[in-house]
This record gives sequence, C-alpha cells and structure tokens, in this order.
Amino acid sequence: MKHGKWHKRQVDQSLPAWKVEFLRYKELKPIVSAVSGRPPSPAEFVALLDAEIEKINAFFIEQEEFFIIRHKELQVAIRDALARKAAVPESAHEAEIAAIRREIVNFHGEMVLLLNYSSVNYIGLAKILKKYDKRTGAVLRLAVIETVLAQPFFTAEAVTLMVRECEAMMEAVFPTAPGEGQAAARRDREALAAAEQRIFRNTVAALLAMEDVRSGSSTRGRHSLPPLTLPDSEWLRSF
Amino acid sequence: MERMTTNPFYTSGIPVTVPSPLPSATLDENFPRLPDAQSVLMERELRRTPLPPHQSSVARMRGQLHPSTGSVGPLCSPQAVRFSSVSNPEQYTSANPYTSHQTPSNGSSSAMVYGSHHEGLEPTYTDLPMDVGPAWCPDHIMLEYSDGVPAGNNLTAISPIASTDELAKQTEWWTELMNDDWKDIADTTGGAKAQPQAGPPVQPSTSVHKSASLQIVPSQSVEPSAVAAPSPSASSNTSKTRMRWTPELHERFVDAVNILGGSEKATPKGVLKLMKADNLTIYHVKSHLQKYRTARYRPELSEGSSERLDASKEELPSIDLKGSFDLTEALRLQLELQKRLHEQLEVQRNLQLRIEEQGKCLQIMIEQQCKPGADKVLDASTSAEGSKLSSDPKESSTVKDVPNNSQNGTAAQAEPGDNE
Repeated sequence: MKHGKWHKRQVDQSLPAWKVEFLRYKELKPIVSAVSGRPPSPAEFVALLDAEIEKINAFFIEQEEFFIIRHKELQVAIRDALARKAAVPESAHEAEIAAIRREIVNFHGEMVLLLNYSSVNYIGLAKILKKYDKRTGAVLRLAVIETVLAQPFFTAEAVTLMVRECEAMMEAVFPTAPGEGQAAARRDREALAAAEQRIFRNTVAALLAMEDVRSGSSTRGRHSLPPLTLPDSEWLRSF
Repeated sequence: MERMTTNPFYTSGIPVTVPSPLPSATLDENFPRLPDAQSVLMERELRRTPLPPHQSSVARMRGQLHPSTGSVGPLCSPQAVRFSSVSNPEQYTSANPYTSHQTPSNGSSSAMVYGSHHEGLEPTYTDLPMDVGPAWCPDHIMLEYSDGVPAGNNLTAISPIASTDELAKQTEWWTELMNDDWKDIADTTGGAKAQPQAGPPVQPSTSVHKSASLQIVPSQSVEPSAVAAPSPSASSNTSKTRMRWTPELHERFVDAVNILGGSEKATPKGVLKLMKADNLTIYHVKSHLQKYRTARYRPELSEGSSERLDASKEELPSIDLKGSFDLTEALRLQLELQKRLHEQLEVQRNLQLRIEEQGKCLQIMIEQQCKPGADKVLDASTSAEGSKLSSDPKESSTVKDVPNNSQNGTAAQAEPGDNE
C-alpha cells in the first residue's frame, strides 16, 4: 500500500478545493488487488478508469480556463501599470508593481501545482494499471497508458506555456535589487502570508513527495522512473 | 491486404481519430460483445497461434494508427509514432482514444484494440504506403542501442533543461535500464526461453506474448467531449459537452467583449455572434463570461483553488521564510522553488513519455521475433535490426534478411533532434 500512502499524502497536502478532484487511487486499488472475489473484467476496469480520467480532465480543463483568463488579465495589468508609470506617484506605482509581482508568483505557483496534480494522477493510473495487469495477466497497461499520455491533463501544453510566460513576466517586473525596506516588508508579509504560504508549502511538499515516490521502486523495471535526489532536499525538509 | 484500403478509418496520412461518425450507438453495439465467449475464445486461440489471427486484425487495426504530436515521438520517427495510440491532440477527450478505434464493423475488431497497436507493425502489410513503412521505431532504437552503448547524449536532449547533473543522471539511469532490456531481448530471441503456454519456441515473456492476444473492448466515456477551438475537426457539439478554451480563443472572446462595451455590458449572445467560432455554444460563452467577470472584479473568488478569502482566517503555522528577507526576496525564493518543481515535473513527464514509447517499440520488436520467418536463427545484432524493415517494408519477412552492416549505416542517421 506504499503508493496508496504516497498518493494520500499528496492529496492531503494539496490545495483544499482540489482534494476531491484527484484520482481515487484508494478506492480503485482494492478493486483491482482484492485477493478474494474476481477482479473486474477489462471492459469494466477500463470503464472505471475512463470515468476517473474524464473527471480529472474536466477539473484540469476548468482550472486551465481560469488560468487562461487570469493570465490575460495579468498581462493587461502589467501593460497598464507600466504605461501609467510616468503619470502616477512613485509609491503608487511601486505598490501596483508589488501587487503584480505577488500575483505573478502565486499564479505561477498554482499552475505548477496543477501540473503536479496531473503528475500525481498519472502516476496513480500507471500504478493501478500495472497492478491490474499483474493480477489478471491482461495486457491493458501499455495501451491504456498510451491514451492517458494523450489526455489534456497530461499533455497540458497551454498551462506549461503559461508557466514559462510567467517566468518571463517576472523578469519584466522584478527589480534588480531588493526594493522594500524592512518595515514595509513586515507589514506586507502579514497581508499575503496565508495564500502564499499555502502555495509555498504545497510546492515544497510536492518536490519532496516527488523525491519520495522516486526513491527507488521495489519493482524497478523498464517502466519505472529513475530515482530522484534533489540536491537540497535537506533544506526543503526543514520547512 | 486489400481490406485495409477499404477501411474507412485508414488512410496513409490522415489522422484516424474521426470525430463525428463515432456515435455512442456504434460503441454500444460493440461494447456488449466483450464479455462474450467470442473474445475469450479468440484470446485463447491467439495465445496458441499468435500470428495468423493477428494478420486478420492487422488490417483493421491499422486504422487506429494516427500521428501523434511531436512530443510523443522521442525515439521513434514521427511516422513511427503513427503506430502509437496517442490520439490527435485536438481531440482532448478520453473518449476518443477508445472510440476512434472502433471500426464500424465486426466484434472482433472492436475487441482488438489495445495490444493491436503493436500488431499493426507486422511486416506482412506489404501494401502499406511507403510513408508508414519506414517508420520503424526499432530502427531508431537500434541506432541508439545497437552496440549496447548508452546513447545518453540523445536522451539528455529530451528536455531543454537537461543540462543539470541530476537530470543527466536520471536519463543515464534509464538508458542503462533500456540497454539491459535490449540484451534480454537479444538473449531470448536467440535462446530458447519458452513460456509454458507458448506455442512457438521463442517467447521472451509472458506479457509480451499476451499482448498478442489482448482482447479488450474499450469502454466508452459517457458523452463525447467537444474540442476546444473553432477547429473543423471538432466533434459535434451539444451544450453538455466540455469546452476546452485556448489562449487564442480567449483573445477573441476578450476582443468581442471589448467591442460590446466591457464584461458587464456584453451579453453571451452578442459575444457568441461576434466571435464567429465554430462549435462554440452560447452555453460555453455564458459560462466563460461568468468566470471572466469574476476574475476581473472579484479576483479572490476567481478560481476554485483560490483561497484568498478564507486563507486569512486560517491559523497557519507560519513558515518564517520571510523573516530575514524582504518581500521581494521572499517572492523570488518562492518562485525559484516553483520553477524547480516545474522543471522536475517536465523532466518526469518527458521520461514517462519516452518510457512508454520505448516499451511499445520493444513489444513490437519482440513480436517481430515470433514471426514464422524468424525461425531462422537470429543472432543478437540482426534480430535487433530495424533498418532493413525501414528501408524495405514490402518484404514479407524482413527480419531474417537484415544485413549486418546496415546497423552501422543507420546509426549515422540518429540525430539528437529526433528525440524531442
């Protein structure tokens, strides 16, 4: 049940609104692996997975839609703020830019967390399929996983692109040197701490979890991912 | 096989994911056939005599082959990826990969979906158009592994950020694993590893053998899902179908809204009219407009994941990352971490793609070994030869004719760029 634990941890650590949207690994696994009773027929099983995939895709695509809207708004906001720069007092401009920076970073973070959501689901599906094949001797895994690889939640082209564009945006609006003074920083810290902390924590958790799930499989084979050791995982774990 | 050309889903260059003529009716009529005796029987039969039934289904299964995106064709040439079941990226559904494999004919074809992707590559398709023939992914795999030498440099090209040691290490690890596999294949095809239930003497693995006998009826998703953009390949649209918005489509939406005087003034009907997008219904526009309005005027509510409203009320143990930093630095740090995660996710995704691509090509290769023409002794290097297959798909049993030296010749064709 090792992966089940990992999966559950990922879900628990995710953004609260997302928890119900994950693959129901915990429910699917016993269906497959139950020693007593019969495992589902290939058709039944594929139907089950299909339903899950549909659900995952639906959630992903809806989030993607929100992100697309937000992305455009951000671009407009940056453009407007920069255009207004000469016409407004510096402090006002600075405040605007600071808010934009915050928004960019949080936006970036949420998108990456969505990509992580996709990854967690993919891994869960791959594991479930592997278990099914093992249990029933069928050869579902390869064919089904191929279709999964084509799913919107996995390919995620638009989100990936937006993530990269965010990174580019940051270059545009971040100062070259640290700007705010300590007092202002402390004030601002309170205000935005909550949302950012959650995103930050989730990101740290996701990185560490990736390391865990890739720490070496007991059934290593040609379908396994290589082990992953993050260079600063110690530091990450200190959070 | 003439049959192939009459298959409405199969043409040489056209993607097979046919959207509209895939009503659930077809699926329903094929679907109930799965549990019946026929498929079970076929399965057992195939297990015993893997080849002839393949060939009959190959024609039908050829219909499933359709090009995939570039991202799925790291090792195989783009044409080879045709054999992948990866559906046309515009389809965006989980239904389509299954439904597109439904040729509107007989039950057995509907059953032979998944494993048959590989079977589509058997060299008996002498009448395959040339552009499909050369697409032997094993060709390229051989280019990398023919001498057992890890083609690490090719693999590290998979990701634009693969320059770090960590990533290189990961791809190397995987390369070695792949090499072990090739050695296994070489051993088993030359050797006499027979599986208990296998007929032919050369049976590298149970699972591979069983892939030949796979009998699965793809389940069908509840409803077809709409393709996003105003692309003509979109499936028929009902108000219930899921819409996938793209940045471009959203641009057009925003333009339309602006023309109409802003998000408050614009009506879904007006926007729909202005956008002139196929497959977009007023329902889609309405929902999107709602999200848009929320994003503009109440950003804290704008997403399911947004927690700005309730976050401040929660007691979170604070990560004191902002203790010694000022705000900007804290944001920088957060961003850096996020970039790291993204990078890792990208690498992981690429690896996952390649793993499956490789797995598929391996299966194909292994099945190749089970051909009747292959009972001449194949030593490791010739059995691994894809080059002859690629250059001359019209041979009925190409494997045995593969010359040794083409291995070196084709090796030169490997380009790192192909792996992207």
